[in-house]
Amino acid sequence: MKSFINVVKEINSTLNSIVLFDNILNSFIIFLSVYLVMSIFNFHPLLASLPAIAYLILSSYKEVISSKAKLIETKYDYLNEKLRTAADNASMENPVVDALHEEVMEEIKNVRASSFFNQKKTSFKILSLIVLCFLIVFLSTLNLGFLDFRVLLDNVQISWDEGVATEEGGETPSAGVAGDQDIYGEESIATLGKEEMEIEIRPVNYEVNAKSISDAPEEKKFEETFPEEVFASSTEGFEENIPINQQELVKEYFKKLAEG
Amino acid sequence: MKNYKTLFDALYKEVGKVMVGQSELIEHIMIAILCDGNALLEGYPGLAKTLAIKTLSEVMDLKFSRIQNTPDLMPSDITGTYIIEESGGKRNFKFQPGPVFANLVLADEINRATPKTQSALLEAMQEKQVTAGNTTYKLDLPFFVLATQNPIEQEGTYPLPEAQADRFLLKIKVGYPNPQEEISIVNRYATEYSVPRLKTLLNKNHIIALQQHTRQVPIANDIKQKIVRTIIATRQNKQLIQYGASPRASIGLTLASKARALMNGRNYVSADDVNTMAYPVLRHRIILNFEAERKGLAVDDVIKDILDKVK
Repeated sequence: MKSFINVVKEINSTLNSIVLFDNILNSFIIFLSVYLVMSIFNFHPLLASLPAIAYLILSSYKEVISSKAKLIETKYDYLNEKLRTAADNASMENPVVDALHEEVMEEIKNVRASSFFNQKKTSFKILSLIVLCFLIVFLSTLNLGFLDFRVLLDNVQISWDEGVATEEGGETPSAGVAGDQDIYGEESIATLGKEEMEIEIRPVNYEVNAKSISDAPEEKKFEETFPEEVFASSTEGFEENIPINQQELVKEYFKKLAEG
Repeated sequence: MKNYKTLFDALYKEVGKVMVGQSELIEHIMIAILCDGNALLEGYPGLAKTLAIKTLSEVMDLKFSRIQNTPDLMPSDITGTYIIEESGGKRNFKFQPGPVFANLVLADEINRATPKTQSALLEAMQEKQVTAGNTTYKLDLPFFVLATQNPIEQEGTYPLPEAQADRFLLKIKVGYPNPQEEISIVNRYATEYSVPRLKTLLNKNHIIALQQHTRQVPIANDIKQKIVRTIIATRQNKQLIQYGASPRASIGLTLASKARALMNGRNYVSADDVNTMAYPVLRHRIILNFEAERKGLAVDDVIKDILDKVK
């Protein structure tokens, strides 16, 4: 009963593609939703791909291995139990099974693939995707960030490291901070204290003054036209071995010589 | 497949000329026949058990015999015995077949026979053959035993051991007719009554073919799993059941479900077939424990509980 086996294969591939499309849509929604949250809390936004991929793999695997016959039976009551029996015994051949296969093949002609495609639901999902995309673009222009989790994590990491370092300080208890850290911390921070620091980041000037635009000046070529008698030689410095007590005497001698 | 439904509807109609009601009894006997199994009928006297079997044998053109079991019944009274036959001045032993040599054997009140006699009958049921002396005689096929037992008057009876009860495919409970049916019975049998002529709808070959078709009915994997889970659940439910059903029950439930599907004109087994046939298949294969009896639960209640739990 090769024809019935082909029918079963066709049913499976059609329903798998519908289910896969739905799962991909769901994965995109998950990705964009998590992306939005991640960008608000200053996490690396690409981490959002992890739950989306995990959902896509798990849900697709679950759907692909599930019985497609049962899915059809839920929509078409007259095929209830009949279709799955025929599908489970697709390779069996005897008069009763053959009659069942023929009956199912006749009845399955009334099954429409579109009945498994929820247009309303899919439209809503696509609309959600568009809204999420716009939301992400809009929020990125606002540079909105409620809580910087990266800083929080760094602080947690520092305090953790400090804790570990204290524990690793040895058996002999000792006061102060382990290692070469200053007990007063960073000197610059200590000086600043609680004073507010005003930092102005100069915006980049993107304005272009059309008037100032002119042709580039001609480059002056550098010509090496030195006279022959001018030449460079290496210099050498000598440090005379004059004792320190006689250095003043020598200094005075040259001074008088210059005055005289 | 719709032809099968038409055929069995015609059979019910034909049996209905003689019997009033008891449609479930007729259906379950037919299921046992289609499964090439045997059935144990339990019911109070006067519920047309014998009439049903006799009527069916007529409609199916089967050789019918009846054994009235009593404590003094000997195995040879069932299987047959050697008798001396005189021909041409010579005396020879000749095998005289017993009532078991028929297609449809009604063993009335089987629990009144001694275990030895019960064993002789059960051997014939299982092997479809009878051994007398050194010779084995094959029984004519199709061969069915429909045994009856009375739930009352248990004194002086020999209840079937569990191992032997397990050889019956179904235990059919025969209930009382409803008031309307009972009025029809009175009207039919308490007035001038002429025995109706019954049409023969099936013969031996048809039945053998139907038995083959029953085994060919396909079953979905999830329904097969449900059957096995149900049978295993009878063995695992230690709170209410002392001994559960054997794998023979799994085979029996599958076959009985297939037969029911065929009789209803379906070429596939439904979960409803399994749920309906679980009662007659498991009824005699489950032994309740003291706790169940203390709670006043019947076997059917426990089967229902198991079916509700197994999805």
